[in-house]
Amino acid sequence: MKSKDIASYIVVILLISFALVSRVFPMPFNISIVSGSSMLPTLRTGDIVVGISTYLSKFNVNDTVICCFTFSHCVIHRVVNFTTTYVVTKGDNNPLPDPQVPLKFAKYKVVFVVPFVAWFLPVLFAVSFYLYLKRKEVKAFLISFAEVEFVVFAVFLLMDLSFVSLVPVNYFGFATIERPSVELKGIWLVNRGKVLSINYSLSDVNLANVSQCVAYIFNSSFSCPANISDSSLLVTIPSEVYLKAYEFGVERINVSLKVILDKGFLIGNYSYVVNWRPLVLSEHAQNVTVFNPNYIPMHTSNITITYMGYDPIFKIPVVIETRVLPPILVESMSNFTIHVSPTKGSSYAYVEFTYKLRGRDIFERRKVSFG
Amino acid sequence: MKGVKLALDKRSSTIGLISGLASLFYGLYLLLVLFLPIYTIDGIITGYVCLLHYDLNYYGKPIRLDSLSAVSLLSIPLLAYSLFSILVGLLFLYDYLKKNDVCVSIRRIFGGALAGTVMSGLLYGLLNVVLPVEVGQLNINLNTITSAGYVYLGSSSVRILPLSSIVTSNLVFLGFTAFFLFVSSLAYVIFVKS
Repeated sequence: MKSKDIASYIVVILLISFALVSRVFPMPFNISIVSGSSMLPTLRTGDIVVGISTYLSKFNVNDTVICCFTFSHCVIHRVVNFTTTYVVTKGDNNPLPDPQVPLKFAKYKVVFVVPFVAWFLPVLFAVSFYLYLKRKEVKAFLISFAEVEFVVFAVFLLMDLSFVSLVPVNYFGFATIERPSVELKGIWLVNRGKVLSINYSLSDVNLANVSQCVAYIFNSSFSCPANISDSSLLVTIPSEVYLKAYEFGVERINVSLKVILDKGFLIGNYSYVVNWRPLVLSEHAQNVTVFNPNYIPMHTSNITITYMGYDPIFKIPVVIETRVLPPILVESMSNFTIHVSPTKGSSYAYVEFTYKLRGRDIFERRKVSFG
Repeated sequence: MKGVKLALDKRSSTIGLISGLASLFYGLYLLLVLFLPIYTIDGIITGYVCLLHYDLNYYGKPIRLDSLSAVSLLSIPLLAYSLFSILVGLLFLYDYLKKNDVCVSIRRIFGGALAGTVMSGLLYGLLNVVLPVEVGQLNINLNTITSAGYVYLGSSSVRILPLSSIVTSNLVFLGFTAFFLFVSSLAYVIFVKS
């Protein structure tokens, strides 16, 4: 073998090794071959990309960069964000961006792409054409002894080096595959406390069915029908739950759910607080409105309207008339209005009633003026 | 030396035959390593991974991973080399059985055995460094506790097939490589250098 041939082999090997070395050590440029589908349709497997060092040419958002981490692991993705310390890239065909990496790993900005069909077919054609032109020499070489062992070794060595140098292994692997997640967005009571709306933040997963729904009060459990509405569950809370909670003086309602997802299932235990509050009274235009802010109906009794006037001589208040009304059931989260129409000689009236709240007798009185 | 049938003793002839068979079997062995599923994955990710190909489904949908695609691409030289080994092994056997001169075949085999050392480096890297790391990422557990509760989204486990673990063990393939290099060198010395 001539020393000229050996020198040419060494030059080729050095050139090929350059791509490998440039992954770790700063070089003016880098040549890599794309593998995988993460950059479709921009880059395809087999495309050759030429990158200029980021020291020579700064990159911006939307530029494609070659981030190299080791001799074997690089990634050729598009920049979606960067600061002075880190860079975030994303494959055009990936649902998620890559994890952020230190800025120093973004070593080359892609400035030139040679599509696979644009280089492979011409190279194939050129090699075939060359072999055809040199067919006599090639044939003579193949049937001769001329250093065949060296050529075999050199060909495979070059092939090995070329692939290892030019085909980086993607660094992020499975990290860019979207993973489903279910988070709780919020819980609200709707429809006057009859329905518990549980809202989820869903990513790449859907609610499919509710296989179990139970509301708990101490040792008592109540089945609660639940429906799915997009990313929410609408759980109907039976009125017995609130009655039981009121009976025991419990303010925390627990709901346990087993939700079937299209990719698994969810077991959720949620609780919400109900405050047993006194009735809210308001007076407006000869009406006394009683609002029940609780999720159970409240019984009122001893409802009386006492009409008051003034003694014409002494100008002191006197009772003109007292009316007794039948007991009233104020539904949960509802209003009930007692209309107080003036009677002859009355200047104002008192509306009085009593009710029980968690065992305590509550007495309420409101004054209604007619003047 | 061309066209000259060498008068070799039986031992030398046997060594030549062994080197030819070694080339053939080494090529077949590499072909087996390339196409044999090495890892199987069960769970939310199902499928298999071999050096030249992988087939993975994530929640029933096929997925492509750039890292495993790169492994497939990096295995192409191994495929070319294994086909070459089989070819030169068969050519040698043809010459041997036809009682033709086997010197060129022996030289090809020796060149192949030398290239085998380089290729075994690549194979070693893929089997022991790259593939376990990339496939190891498929060993995932998505069952977690979030603000929504206990979310069971499944898990996947990677299993190396018993046959693959034997076939791709370092001892076996480095042993094959060393043996192939040894017998082909021996044959080269006997047939070419003597």
